[in-house]
Amino acid sequence: MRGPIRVTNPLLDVLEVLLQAFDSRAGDLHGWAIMKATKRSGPTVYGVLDRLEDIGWISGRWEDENPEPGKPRRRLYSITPTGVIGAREVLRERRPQALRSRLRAPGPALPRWQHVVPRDGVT
Amino acid sequence: MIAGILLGIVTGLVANELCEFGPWCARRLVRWSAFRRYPDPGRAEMRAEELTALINDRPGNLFKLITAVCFAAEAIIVCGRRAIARKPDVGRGSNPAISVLSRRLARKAILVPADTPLAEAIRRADENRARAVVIVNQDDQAIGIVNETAVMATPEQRRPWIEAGALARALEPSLVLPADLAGTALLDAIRQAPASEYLLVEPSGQVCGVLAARDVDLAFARRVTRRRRARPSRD
Repeated sequence: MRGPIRVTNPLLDVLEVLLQAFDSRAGDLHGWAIMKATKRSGPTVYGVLDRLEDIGWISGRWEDENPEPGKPRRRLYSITPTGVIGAREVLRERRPQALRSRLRAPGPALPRWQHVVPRDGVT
Repeated sequence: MIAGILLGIVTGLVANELCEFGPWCARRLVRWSAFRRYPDPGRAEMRAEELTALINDRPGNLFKLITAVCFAAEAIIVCGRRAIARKPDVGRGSNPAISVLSRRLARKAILVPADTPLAEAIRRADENRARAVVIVNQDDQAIGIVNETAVMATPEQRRPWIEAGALARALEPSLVLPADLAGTALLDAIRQAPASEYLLVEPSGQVCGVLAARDVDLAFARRVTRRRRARPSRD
């Protein structure tokens, strides 16, 4: 892991999307899905992915094969445990509403939260 | 009638080709961008493949092309920034001499005693494929360098009767240069003691060869020309 990361709005967007995918167990996301979700341009998203990969907050892997036959395989991204902790810290500081709304949201997000940020009495 | 049908077919084919051309062009463009954008070849290859898949995912032929152009524009900007970031180094080393290393220009030299006939010294030099003659004393210490111009000016028939030492310039401390001298330091050393030849010695004290001022001039001139060719707009 290198020095402190420069926190920008596109970075927060990408982190939010990846964290959401992690919380909702939506699976790994490919570049186009991240672009669509963040509504950011390709170079911006990939610039952020480069930085996040460099500091070890996300990890990428190639899919075995594209679901559409004959199409090139895509690279899928997921947030790493370090990334989850880091992203929550950064989002708490910069976009508390985003985190709060997700905390209140129903679904499987809550148990995962408790898992990452252990509270007293929670096993 | 037939012409109309043919025109219809041809128009259809052309339109089809154009539709195919957009995504093809976009894929080529993103591959090109990835290799320009990332200096690390591993990452560049990875991104090139990944972005090709991304273009495939992106719906709409025109949008595919627009996305690819965005990637290309970003790659060009990043390349430009990288070039600017590298510029101060170039500026500091704007002296083209910076990479001219004296050792690389050293002429191989043979060592002969001062009383060796010039013809014999030249014969030995040719035999050893050397291009310089250094005069040594009885203790094998270098004491002079035979001047190339003086040798050229001596008629061949007189060479057996002239001692090599007679055409040598006595070695002053300023004419002895370390073999790893390079760039501006090399220029300064030459400027301080102008001469046609210098003795290059290794840190161990061993003779490395002879550095001819003419060779240094040529090396510098070549570098300057190469630079001008590489950056014509700056001149």
